[in-house]
Formats: sequence, C-alpha cells, structure tokens
Amino acid sequence: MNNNSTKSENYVPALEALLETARAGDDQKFLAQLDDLTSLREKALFQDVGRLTRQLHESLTNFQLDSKVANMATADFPDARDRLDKVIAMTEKSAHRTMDLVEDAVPVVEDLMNVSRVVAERWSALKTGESPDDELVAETRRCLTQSGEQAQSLRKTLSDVLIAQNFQDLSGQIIRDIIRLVKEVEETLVNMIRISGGSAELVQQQADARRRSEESERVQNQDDVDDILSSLGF
Amino acid sequence: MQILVVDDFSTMRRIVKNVLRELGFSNLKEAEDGAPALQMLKTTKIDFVVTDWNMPGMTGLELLKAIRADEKLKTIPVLMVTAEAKREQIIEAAQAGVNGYVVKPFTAQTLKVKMEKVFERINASK
Repeated sequence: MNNNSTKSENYVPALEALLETARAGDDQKFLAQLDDLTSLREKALFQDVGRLTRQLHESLTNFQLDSKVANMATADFPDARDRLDKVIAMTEKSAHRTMDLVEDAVPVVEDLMNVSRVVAERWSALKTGESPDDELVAETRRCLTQSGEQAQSLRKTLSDVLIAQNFQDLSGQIIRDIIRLVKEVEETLVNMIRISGGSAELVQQQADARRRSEESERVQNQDDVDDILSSLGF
Repeated sequence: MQILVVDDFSTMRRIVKNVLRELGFSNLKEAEDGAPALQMLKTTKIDFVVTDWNMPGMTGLELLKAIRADEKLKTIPVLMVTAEAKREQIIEAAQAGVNGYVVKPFTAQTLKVKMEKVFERINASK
C-alpha cells in the first residue's frame, strides 16, 4: 500500500511519544496515546476501503457503459439501419402509389373537361329560342351520365390517395424510436467523455457552435439561392 | 429536345419527369447516378441535364465537372435540383459551370421559370 496515511513513517511521531510515556510510567496517558495510534490505523484502513470502493464502483459503471455500447454496436445500430431502410421503402412505395393514382386520374379529368366543353359549346351555339335537337339532348344525357361515373371514379381515386399516406404513422414511429436511440448514444458518449476526464460541457458547447455555424450557412429557400447566384453574376 | 433526369431516388425522378412533361417536354431519359448518366451522355444525344447533387456513386457536382471537361459535352446545359442548400455548395456549383440551381422541395412553377431562364441565356449568347 502506498497511500500516505498508511506509510510507516507517519506513525513515527506517535510511536515515539508512546514510548516516552511508557518509559515515564504514565499508564493513563499511555493508554490514551495507544488508542489514538489504533484510531490512526483504523482511519487509514477506512480511507483505503473507501478508495477501493470508489474504484470498484467506477469500474462497474465503465463496464456497464462498455456492455451498453457493445449492445448498441451489435444489435441496436443494425436494427436501426434495417428499420430506416424500411422507412425508405415504405415512403418510396407510397410516393409511387400516389403518383400512379394521380397519373390515372389526369386522363379522366381531361376527358371530363373535353366532353363538357364540347356539349357546352353546342348549347351555346343554339340561337335564342331554338330548341336542341334529339341528338344534342341524347349527347347531353350521355355527358351527364359519364360525368357522374367519372366523378365517382375520381372520388375512389382520391380516397386511395388518402390511404396511400398511411406510411406516415408507421415511419414516424420508427423514426421516433431511432431519435431515442441517437439520444441514448449521445448520453453514453457524453458520459465516456466525463469518465475519461474531459469536459462534457465544453464538448457540448463546441458541438452547438458547429451546428449553429452550419445552420447559418444553410440557405432557407429558392430566393436565397437566386440571391447568391445573382451576386455571382448569374 | 431530349432531357436527362439524374437522381438516385426513383420517386424524385418521377416527379421531375412529370413536371417536365407538364411543361411540354416529352422526350425524357433517366439515370440513377452520375456514372451511368455520363455514360448515357456519351452514347445518346442529350440536350439538357437535370441532376440531383447527392448520389452514392458519382455526385451531381462530379457529373457537372465531367460534362464541362468533355470537349463533346461541355456546352450541354445542366440544371441542379437538390436539397444541398449550403452557401458554399451553391458557389461551388456556379464555379463548376452550372446553368441553374433549384432547391428541393420545389414547385412546378420554380422548375419552369428556371428552365426558361436557362434557355433564354443560351439563346442570348448564341
């Protein structure tokens, strides 16, 4: 043991005093000094036990951190990656589904526009007081029936577009879980910095400063882009 | 007019192609990365390139630089359509010879205006 309190030389003054008292034959003082000496030894022991306990506690904490990190690296991260891939697949599928539906709907709308325009034109061409002939009446009936059917099919398409957005709920949940994991990793890293003697606050401040400067470099919209380009002579 | 749309996300290619079709361009090609795009440019007659920046293989900026460095391709207009919106990146693209820069998310109107501007400038310099 190399702790200061347990060095034998620390005991020398007390031992010398004790020896002197023994030689002088002062029993009462001898016993009192002997008690002091014993408590000195006890104090040193307690300090050593305290130090060992602290070390053990730190090792255990480190060990927990290590196993937590190992778990993150081997299980949580690959899992997060897989689930993020799933989010990409989900959003991609939904976007394609939505675009399919929109592309299907466009010709229906165009047809609706064309047919209505033709019939409307024919009605406009009638002179004041002139009655529509049988053919125009029949065509108008057809147009109305067809518009009704097409509107119904569009309503179905719109409701399918709506349903195609259901990925948001699921992908939102996955992303929220991963944000939680990232936060956990962040806390673990901050802890490690603290244990290894670094200043977590300083690291945090540096990270914040970096983030702020990156954000300030990021332009907000197309107008900002246009401003930069025009300042370059575009 | 044959336009090449380059983006690693199929959804974005589809959106851009739809907007271009709406603007009256029907002759559209697509590539999912800078490298196959460059290959296609060398073998197919392409009149205009609309490219994303951030792609896993060859980035849009690298593609732009490769186009400008190629004697046969260097006059092809390149419009960057990207989520990369850092000041220095916009400057970098401009210095590399980009003809227009549109940040995502964009509207059909923005894309239309930017493309018309590119054509205007090309016609004015002819």
